[in-house]
Formats: sequence, C-alpha cells, structure tokens
Amino acid sequence: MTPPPGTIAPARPELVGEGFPQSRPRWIELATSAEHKDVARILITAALGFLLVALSEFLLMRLQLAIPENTFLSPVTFNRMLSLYGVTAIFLFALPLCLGLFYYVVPLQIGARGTALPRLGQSGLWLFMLGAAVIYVGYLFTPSEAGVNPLPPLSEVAFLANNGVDAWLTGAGMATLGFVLLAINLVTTMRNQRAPGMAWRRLPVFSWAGAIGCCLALVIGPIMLAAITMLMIDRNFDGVFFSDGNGGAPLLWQHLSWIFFSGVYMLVLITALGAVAEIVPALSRRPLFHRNAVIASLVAIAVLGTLAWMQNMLTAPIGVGWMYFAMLMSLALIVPFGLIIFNLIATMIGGALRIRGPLRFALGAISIASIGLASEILHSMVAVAWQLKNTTDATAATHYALIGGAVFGGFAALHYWYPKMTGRTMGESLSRLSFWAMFVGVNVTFFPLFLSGLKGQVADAYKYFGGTGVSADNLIATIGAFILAAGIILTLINALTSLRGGPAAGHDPWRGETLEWFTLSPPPAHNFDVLPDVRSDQPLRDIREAIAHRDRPAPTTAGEPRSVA
Amino acid sequence: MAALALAAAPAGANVISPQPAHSPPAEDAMTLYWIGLVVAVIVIVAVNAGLIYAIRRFRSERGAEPRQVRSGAGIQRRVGLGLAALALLLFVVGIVFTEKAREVPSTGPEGLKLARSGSNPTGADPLDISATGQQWLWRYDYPNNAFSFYKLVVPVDTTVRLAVESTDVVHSWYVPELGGKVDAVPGKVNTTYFRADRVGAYDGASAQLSGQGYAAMRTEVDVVTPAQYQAFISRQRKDIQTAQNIVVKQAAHPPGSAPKYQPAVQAEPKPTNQPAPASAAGAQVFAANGCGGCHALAAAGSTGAVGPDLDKSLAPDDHAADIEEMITDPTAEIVPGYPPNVMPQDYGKSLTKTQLSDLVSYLIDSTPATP
Repeated sequence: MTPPPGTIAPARPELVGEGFPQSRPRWIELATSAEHKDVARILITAALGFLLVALSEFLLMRLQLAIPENTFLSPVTFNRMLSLYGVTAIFLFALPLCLGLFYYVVPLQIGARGTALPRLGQSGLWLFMLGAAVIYVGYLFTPSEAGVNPLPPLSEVAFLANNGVDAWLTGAGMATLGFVLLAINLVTTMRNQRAPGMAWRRLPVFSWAGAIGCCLALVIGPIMLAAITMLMIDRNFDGVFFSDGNGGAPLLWQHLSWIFFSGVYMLVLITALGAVAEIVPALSRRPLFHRNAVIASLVAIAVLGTLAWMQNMLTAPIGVGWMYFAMLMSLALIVPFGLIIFNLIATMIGGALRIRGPLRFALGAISIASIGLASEILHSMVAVAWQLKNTTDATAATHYALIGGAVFGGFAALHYWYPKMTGRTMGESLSRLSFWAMFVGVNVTFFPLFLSGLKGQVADAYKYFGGTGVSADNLIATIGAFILAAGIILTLINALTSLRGGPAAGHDPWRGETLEWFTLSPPPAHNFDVLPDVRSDQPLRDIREAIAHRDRPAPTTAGEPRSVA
Repeated sequence: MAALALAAAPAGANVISPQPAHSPPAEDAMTLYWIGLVVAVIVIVAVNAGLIYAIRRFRSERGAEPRQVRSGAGIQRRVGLGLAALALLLFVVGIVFTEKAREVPSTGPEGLKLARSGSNPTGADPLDISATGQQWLWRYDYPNNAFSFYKLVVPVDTTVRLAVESTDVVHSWYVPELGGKVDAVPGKVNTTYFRADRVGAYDGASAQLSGQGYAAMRTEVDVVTPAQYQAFISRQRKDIQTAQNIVVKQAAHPPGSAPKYQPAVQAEPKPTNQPAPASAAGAQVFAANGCGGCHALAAAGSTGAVGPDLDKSLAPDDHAADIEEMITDPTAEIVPGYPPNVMPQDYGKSLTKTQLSDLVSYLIDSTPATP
C-alpha cells in the first residue's frame, strides 16, 4: 500500500551527539580539516618555517659577500641560492603569512561561524604546499639559476636548459593559484557571512585590509599565472611569447611579473599596516584616530602601488612618458602611506601605551618600513633611478620596506593574535630581546648596503672586487645579517616554547574592541556560541558599556567610579 | 636648496651620494638625488621622531587616562592635501631634472670635431657607438667598422650616443660616473648620451643578472684625447683588417691543398723583420677575437683583468696541446681565483684549425710556454 501523496516520512527520533570520539590522530585531523582556523594555522606555521629557510639562504649569500672575490660559493651555487631565496621569501613566506593571518582572523572579526567555501580554501592551502614541495624537490636535482625574477631570455630554454626554471615556474604557479583560491574564499565569506549588523562601515580595519588584500591577490595572481603559462609554453612547446623577432615581446614578462611583484609588495604592506592599525589602538587604549582615512588609504595603496609597476623598469627601453607615469604613481603613494602613519602616531598621542610584544613590533614595523618607503621616493624619481636601480641600494630599500612589513609587521600580528590562536601569550622578555636584535640587525645589515650601492656595487652579483670601496660595507652587512637572524630565530623559539609555557591569556588579553576577542581562546570549531548584534565599529566596547550599565549599582551604593574604555 | 647642499657638502659627501658625475646627464641626476635625499631624510626623521615622542610621553605607566577622541575629517583633509602637495612638488622637480638629464649635451671645444649634418645644424653630430651585451662581455662598435671588447675608448669632451643592444639575454650597461644604467634587451635598441669631461678610466659593470659570468662582466671606459682616439681606431681597424685578410686567404687556400689560382688582388704580404708568420697571424687572431679584452698579454699590449694574466699563468710546462685545450675547452682546468664558464666555450668551433694553431704558436712565442 502506497502512502498518500504529500505525506512526509514518519518522524524518527533524532540523535544529537556532542564530541564525537576522535578515531584519527590529531595531525590527520588537522591536515584534512577544511576549517579556516586549521588551514590558517598550517599556512602560518609553514610560512614561519620557510622564513627560517629563506634566512639561511640569505646568510649563505651574505657569507659569500663578506670579503671581496670570495670563493665560498661558486657563481652557479650563488645564483641558485639567489633564485631560491627570492621564491622562498616571496611565495613561501610573505604571501602565505599575509593570507594565513587574514584567513585566521578575518572570519572571527566579522563574526562568521566558518568560511563560505571551506573546501576551496583547503585546496588552496594544499596547492600552496604542493607548489612549495615542487620548488624544493626541483631544487634537489636541478635548481633554477635565473634569479629572483626570472627574466626571459635568461630563463628561456636556450640559456637555462635544465628543469630548474620549470620547477620554479610550476611551484610558484601552484602556490599563486592556491593564494587565489584562498582569496576567493575570503572575499566570498566577507561578502556573505558577516554577523548581523556588521555593515562594511563597521568592519574592523584588519578585515578591510583583508578584503583589499584579497581583491588585490585576485587581480595580480592571474596575471602572474598567465606570465608563468606563457614562459612554460616558450620553454617546453616552442613558444615565442618572449622571444624577439618572432612576434614575441621580450619586455612582456617584465611588465606582467612586475605587476605581480609590485602588487605583492603592496599586499605585504597592506597586511602589516592593517595589523598595526588594530594593535596600536588596542594597546594605546584609544580608538583609531580616523578609521575611514586609514581604510581609504589602504585602497589607494593597493591601486596606486600596483599601477606603479613600471617603477621597476625605468632602465628598460620603454617610452619616457611611461616612466613619468610610473613616477607619478609611486610618488602619489606618499599620500596614503603618509596618512596612515600620521593616523597611527596621532592615535598614540594622548593614549596610554602598553609597550608589550605586539606594540613593540608594530612600532618597529612603522620605523623600519618608513626608511624603506622614504628611499623608494629616490628610486621612483626617474633620473635617480637610472643611477640606483639594480644596485645594492635598491636591495636595501626593498628589504627595509618588506622586512619592516612582512617580518616586523608579521611578528607584531603574531604576538597580537597568538593568544587567540593558542590560549597563551608569547613570553615578554624573549620578545623584547628578539625585537632589539632584529631592530639593530636590520639596520646594521641594510644601511651599509645603501652606501655600497651608491658606490656602484651591483645587486645579485656573486662577488665584488677589492679596491672598489665596498669591502667594509659588505663585511658590516654580513655581521648585521647574523644579528638579524639571531633576532628572528629568538621570536620563532618564543612562539614554540610559549605553546606550552606561555602565560595563560584568557579570551581578551589586550582589551580589544573587535569580535575575535568575544570568543574563547582558542576559539571553538564554530567560532561563536552566540553573537552580539553589532551596533558600531567597536562591538566589544559596546558590550563592556552595556555590562557596566547593567552592573552599575544603585546610585546610593558608594564605590569606585568605573572607567569605561 | 639642493645646489646649496651640494656646495656645502663636505669632502665625505660622496659616501652618501652616487659617485662624482663626469658627464652632464649624470650631474643632473646627482642634483635630483640630493633633493630626494633631503626629502627622504626629513620623512624618516619626522616619522621616527613622532614614534619616539609618543613612546616616551604616553606610556600607560604614567597613569593618564586615554582620551577617547577621534579625528574630524578636516584634519585628515589638510594632512592629505599637504602630502599630495609634497608628492606633486617632487613629481614636478623629478620631471624637470629628468628632462635636463635627457637633454643631449653638445660636444665641447676639446672634443672630437665631427661633421655637422643637416639633422643637427647647430653643433657637431654625436659620436655613434653601439654597445652590445653578450654573455659575458661587452662589445663596442665604432664608426668605420672598428670594434673592441670589454674596453670602450672615447674622446674627451665629445658627445657620445651609445646604442645599447643585446644578442642574448637582458644586460644592463652601467658606468656610474658617466650616467645611469641602460638595459640591453634583445631586439630593442636603448639609447643613452654622455660626454666625459675628464681624461681617465671609468669602471663599469653589467647590472642585470645574466648567468654565471655576471659578476665578471665588467667594462671600462677609457676617456682619451681625440688624437689618441683616432690612433686607437686606426690601430683597431688595421688589426681587424689584417686578421680578416688572413682568414679570407686561408679560406681560399685550405692548408694541404694546392692553390688552383692566385687571386690577383690578394698579394702575399712581404716578409719583413717580423716574427715567424704563424706567430704573426696568431697575433691578429688574438686581436680580432677580443682575447685582450679579458686577458693581459704583454706582447699584445693588452691589460684585460677578467681572465688570467697570460704572461704569468702560462708556464714552461704548458705545451701546444695544453694551450689548445685551454682555448677550446676553457672549463677543463681553471686557474685558481677565476670563475669557470666565463670564457666563451665555442672557440673550438668559431676558430679554424689554422687560426687556432697560429694563435697557439703566437702564445708560445710570447709567453713562458714551450712548444
């Protein structure tokens, strides 16, 4: 007998279970998890690991350059180290660190219980890991010798016939694709999963930085993928994209890759400034001086900085009009960077600064990056750039800006959100020691390189000659590199030991104003049990005020006046 | 302000500036550099002073209650406009000095007198030289088919139009004191002008990673008087012509085969008080292939320092077969202190057998090596 149409199957008792027994080891759970906090933890851990790898490659190169005409590394080995260092520092450290921080923090800040496309993000993570594996396994047999940015024709098969460049391209391509997938997921999440009342105008600054950075990654990532695809076709299928005289354009790679690398430069600084703009108000106990100016400046940095890509090509045969365009875009960056730094300092003035790990590194990031960005003023003025491009002066400017952004800014963010990720605070004395070693180290390393570049030492060369006046500069830089490395390693040790030994943090150690401090540390899998209605850009302040209001005793009761802040 | 800074600059000023300029475009770049440096230093000092002030004055330990105020839009607008004005000012200054640096200087009174042409009625035409980058050597082509490797010889006070090209990968021609970098991109011609104001030698380098020999891909610009320049050009031309004649002759009469006919125009050079013919021909091979660009050899008057000094590195126990191997397969044995893979490895193919044996006998005659 058939049931009458429209009848729903008879109700069965529903089983609801909490805490299913874990049958698999923890690392398998972590590796197969698509949950945004697990993915982000793997990304951040991998990025910090690759920081160590990039650092050791940098030290090897600095050792080779410690004395003139050194024979510690052969030119081939040096070029391999250089290529390896570039791809590791950019694709395997800076980008995954930025995206990992966004991936962990942004869903919490916007009050989402997860991400919109978790499997897409998970595949992004593992594409990145696979890309890293391809690069390093590729290096085990035939490394690339084409440098940080493998310009064709040097990276064409006619000049580097082994598979090293192919491994570089494949690995970097997979990682880039992974970053694009992670960015798609974050943009979708921010578009669709914000908590009730979390309008865009109330989004925390770091989430804004995440939105801007991810949109930037969606623009520059596919451009790099296109360039990589063309070079792969050139190398393996007789393509002529970058060869002259066959309808190809030798400068095309430079244009496409510099759009990507300029975008990455900006993405790193946007992440760092976004994090610093959370840390400074929280640890000064003062609201950000002007939110909208900072957010608009972040947008301007993404747009102008990427449009300034030809700033890297001022010595190439491009029209002088394009050079002036690049100069205009680069110099225009003075406005957004200047506004953000002005607002950060203005936030601190009149505040109550708690100089702890996060704030110390945040201020270090501003200080170090300001040196790099100010030198970029010189590097964007066309006639000066003709003198300074591709000397160690340019190396120093880039490293000041990117170490300020990715390492100091990244460590500031790590110190700030570490309690949320682990439930424990990073050790304060080790953090202070590490900061000062890094701060001294970065200046001792890169300031002499400014001077040696002015004397005409070219970048990326495996040796220099005595009697050119750069020997002392290079020796000092090598010593500084070891101080810098010691500082970085101290923070990594601090992060490891604090996992177990750090002081317990509680859910809101910094008295933050954004939603991630509303949940437990570490947050449960679903992030929030309950979510408040967001009424302003400082939801936790609203909650504290409401609690204070509720708890406020009757006027007759004597007591200490409570501060609301 | 920049001129003032330049005038007041102490003796050690070139520690914090590029190398002293010896060409008008490089001087304009230098002025712009000083302006930019002043702005950059002011920016760095302002930011860090702000940070230090905030840290020292507003610590929570001082117990002051933080003021919960936010900025109005007016402050932001004023700061933003101020920064925009600074950016615009720098942009204008940058364009002004870059345009000055791009102006083609005209040849001075001390310089080489070149014919005025219709295209340039006001002054002498610039001297046209092309610099061609190849892995890992610069080749300079002068007017009248003279060429040289590694070393560029130019007359003083003369405007030189340098067309920078590449035959393989991207290189960058960089002689700091004579102007900035100029990229050599295959299939493109990138032009720069300079006018050296002082006789002397200027060191330069390639400033774009080009492979294993990149660090050794140096160059040198020898600024000489116009008379010395003319002498250099005619000497180079004569050497090249002689070498070419020998090559043409050898192609016409391969050794071992009897000549079928004697071309009337190609007279046998009269043997005079010269070394053995093979050795003389070897000298021409040495000159025509640019060996002297990298190797010092007293007999040829070359002083190149990229590769080993042949007078010192060739010893009595180096025999003809060893020297031939050193030329055709330079990586087989490397003189300590010199990188491998710098010397071109195709001389075995590009030189004929006779040229090679001439070159070897020339080297045996002019160095401690024995046959």
